Amino acid sequence: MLKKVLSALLALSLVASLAGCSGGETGSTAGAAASTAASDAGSAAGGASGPSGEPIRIGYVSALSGDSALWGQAGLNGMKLAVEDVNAAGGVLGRPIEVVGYDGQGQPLDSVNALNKLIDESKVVAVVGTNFSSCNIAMAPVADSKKIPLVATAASSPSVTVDEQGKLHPYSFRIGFTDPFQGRVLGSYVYEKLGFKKAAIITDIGDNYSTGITQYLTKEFTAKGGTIVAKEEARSGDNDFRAQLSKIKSANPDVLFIPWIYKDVALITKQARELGITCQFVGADGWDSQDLPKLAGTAIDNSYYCSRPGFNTREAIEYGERYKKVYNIVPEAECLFGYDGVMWLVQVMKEKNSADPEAIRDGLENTKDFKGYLGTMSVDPATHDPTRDAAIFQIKDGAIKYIENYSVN
Amino acid sequence: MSGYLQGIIILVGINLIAVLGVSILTGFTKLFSFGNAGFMSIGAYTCAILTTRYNVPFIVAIIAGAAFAGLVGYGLGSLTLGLQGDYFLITTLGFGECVRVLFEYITPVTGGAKGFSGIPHYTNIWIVLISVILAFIFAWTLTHSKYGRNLTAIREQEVAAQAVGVDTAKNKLMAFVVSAVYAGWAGALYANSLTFLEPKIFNLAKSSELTITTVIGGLGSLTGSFLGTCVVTLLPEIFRSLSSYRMLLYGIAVVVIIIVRPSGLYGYKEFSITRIGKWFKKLGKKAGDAKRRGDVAE
Amino acid sequence: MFLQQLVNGISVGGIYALIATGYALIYSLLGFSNWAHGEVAMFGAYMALTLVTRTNSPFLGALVFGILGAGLLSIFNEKVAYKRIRDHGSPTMFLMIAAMGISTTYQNGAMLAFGPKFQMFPSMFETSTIQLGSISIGILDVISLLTTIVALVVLDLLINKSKMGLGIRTVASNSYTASLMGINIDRYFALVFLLAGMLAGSAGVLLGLKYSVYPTMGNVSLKAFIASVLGGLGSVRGAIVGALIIGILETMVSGYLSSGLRDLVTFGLLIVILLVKPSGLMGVTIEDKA
Repeated sequence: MLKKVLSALLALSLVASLAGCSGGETGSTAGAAASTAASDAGSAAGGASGPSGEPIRIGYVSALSGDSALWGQAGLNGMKLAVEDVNAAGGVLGRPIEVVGYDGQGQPLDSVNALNKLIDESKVVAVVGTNFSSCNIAMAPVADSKKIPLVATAASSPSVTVDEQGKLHPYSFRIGFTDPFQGRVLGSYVYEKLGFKKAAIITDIGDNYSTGITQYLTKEFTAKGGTIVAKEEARSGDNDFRAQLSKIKSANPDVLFIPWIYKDVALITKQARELGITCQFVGADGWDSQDLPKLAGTAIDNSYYCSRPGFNTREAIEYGERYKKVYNIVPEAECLFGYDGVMWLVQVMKEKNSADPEAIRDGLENTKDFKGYLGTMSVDPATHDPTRDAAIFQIKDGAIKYIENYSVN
Repeated sequence: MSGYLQGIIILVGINLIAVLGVSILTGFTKLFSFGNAGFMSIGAYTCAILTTRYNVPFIVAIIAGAAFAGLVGYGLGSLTLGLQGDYFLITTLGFGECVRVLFEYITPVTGGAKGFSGIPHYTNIWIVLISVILAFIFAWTLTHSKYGRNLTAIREQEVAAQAVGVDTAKNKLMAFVVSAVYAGWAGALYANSLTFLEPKIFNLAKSSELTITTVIGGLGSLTGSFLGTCVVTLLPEIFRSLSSYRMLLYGIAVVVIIIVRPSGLYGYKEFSITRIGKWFKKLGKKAGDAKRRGDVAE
Repeated sequence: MFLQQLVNGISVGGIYALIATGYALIYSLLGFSNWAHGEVAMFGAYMALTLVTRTNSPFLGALVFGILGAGLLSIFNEKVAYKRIRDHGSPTMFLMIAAMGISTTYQNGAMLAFGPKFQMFPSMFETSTIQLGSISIGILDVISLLTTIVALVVLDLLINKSKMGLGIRTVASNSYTASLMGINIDRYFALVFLLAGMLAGSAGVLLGLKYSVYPTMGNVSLKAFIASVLGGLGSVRGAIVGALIIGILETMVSGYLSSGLRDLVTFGLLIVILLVKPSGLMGVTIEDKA
């Protein structure tokens, strides 16, 4: 019986390796789970008026397995919708485009391997991903040495595009905000607009996103004249934050900054309210999920956070509806990144009239007013950071309410 | 050779060095450690800091990283090697987690959770291959020397070994220090290969991966460790395009291998050409053999 | 604030205790640490959650469903993997490696089956708090502490007072002799896995209720495992004491020292205690079996 199990397993692994090979050779969208939409698009592209010839391949690296696969898969889904649209409109330079997605598990080493595989075996012209700063910091030197543009999605550390010595990674770009930008927006908005002077912060000490925002937020808030009365640390997965929150409660702040991912935010806000903390809660784009109001319930009512315009423009709302119809799941913000990532690359290729990685890089660097679902953005050639407006949201009665756009210099 | 392929070979090499360390400890003394990722972390950060901030030559930095890991291993081992089985295991586990938490905490030195980036890319395929060969030769010499026989004696019958005058404490400590040095060595190569470090790379999952690899390869077999490393490192690589099914299959594979081949791929023997013929003959009465070997080990 | 932190600590430690006793039970019989235990708890939580969201079942029904589901999964693990490995006569450490493989399998299986999303139970109780002076105690904490106490008392009675418990203790003290005496030891192994699984299931449901349900929620069992080592491997009462110590220690370190150093202090103390008392707080010194 067990021998059979083993042989079945071996057979499976064989199939898997074959799938891997074909992914490399023919460039069909890799992975059983990932093949549906793009291959549909591919067959549709076979029509007489459609694009023809060798497809232009765009790579994607993210966590497609593991506990952050939710966002990784959403990004890939978004890219596949973009591919569908582009190919239906005649492709790029008369050729169809295609997405090849590989799992990087959200681990730096895994992501580097996935990137190498995309570049060496799938011959991609550009790569989109990831939403982890740690992965992109590790991938950036590889992209530089292989001269393939790498467009990070939500990776927010400054080191993604500019290294510690202040040297630019010429082939690294990003779509989302940086930690310093978000930290400044939050610190400034809370002090200037909301008028709070006494703040507490709880930070995920094991996460570079949370520690990054904490650092810049503290700097901005205290520079404006505010004081930080309590600074607590915890880790994602701790589940119980009451020890830290009890300390925060005794410091009696006006506002509590919670720059965490939404799952922990739900737990932190609930436990804070249970302990009798009544102050204002404020968060960053890690809050940006339709699930947060559902998970946190009344505990999070009236809280503010800053993020991208997200599903609040008319176009993005329509896109969200379409996404829901195609995949039958709630759209996550990452699917906007995936879509915009492909569209940005396509616009650049059309402008430059070339699918050469070198030309794409130049085009990305000099992007002016690219309009995507995430809003309009331009690229600063010195840092490769996008300039775009941040949007402020408030959670009201279980719904996310757009308040205003807010920007700092 | 493509960069992807080179990357995989480098990865297998680095993992192999760390696994050889665990193999010397676990395979030859039956002490299980779940803290070797902590030693890797120490070696990695030492080497990264030396090469990045002080421009120390790579070879010197590798030696320093391995030596520092060994030193910490000596300290920890002197304290904890008197503990029995699971209690020893949990102290090593605690140690590994301590290193991770500490490195997240001392931000000025390690960069904390934001990570340590900008490490020069010194590790290439040749340095890894040379390292692997050196590591293998040293491990082979060690386990086939008087020390190695002492260790095997400790594994099979600690009390009896003691009775015939083997200094069990000293031998166990030596095995533990060697395993720490190997982990530190692997960590140093890792740092200058990935060019980026963050404390959570070397977490409990990494430690258990090293031990799983050793067991799958077969306890007490260095060539088995080599095979085990190839399997464990390449399995997820083969499954990469299966995305969400990837780690599921990996988990199932581990369980199935443990059930089907209880002594690992090469338990208590080394790979050799002459043995292959015998192995085929033995295939028939395999089950009975495994049973007996298991009883002896117990 | 001290009292508040003490309340927080007991509430955290209570859940650790439910999981830690499962480790202790299995260790006392089989001499290995079942690292897939946390995933059994996770499975129990998902079972209960599925029942609640599908049928609007009340809390008690969900709890029982989750407990049974987890208990059955635990027996399944024993029959499919552990028993075979034991029959091969492999060293007990192999059981642990297999358990790690099972743990990876279930975590990723759950991601495929239930999705990686974090889910919460619909609010079944008022999330109100009882105010005792300056201390606030959540209703949920009271309920989960009561459930924990009931489960642990029932377990204690089962093991120490019932005929079945006598059998378990006999097998635990020497399974080989027990088998010679004509005791069907496999049955007792299965029974212990069922008990441990049910405890894990109840812990899983409570964890899910208090926090949230997600595929890697079983990772919390690492702390429970440490608690069971601290209390002395194989000692059920030791596991409970160890769990409370860890829970209170964690909150006190976070509250008075630094939350960033919490795990460092927990693990550091664990190493120190083991050095001073090598078999844990309440462990019986086992003779060298190697």
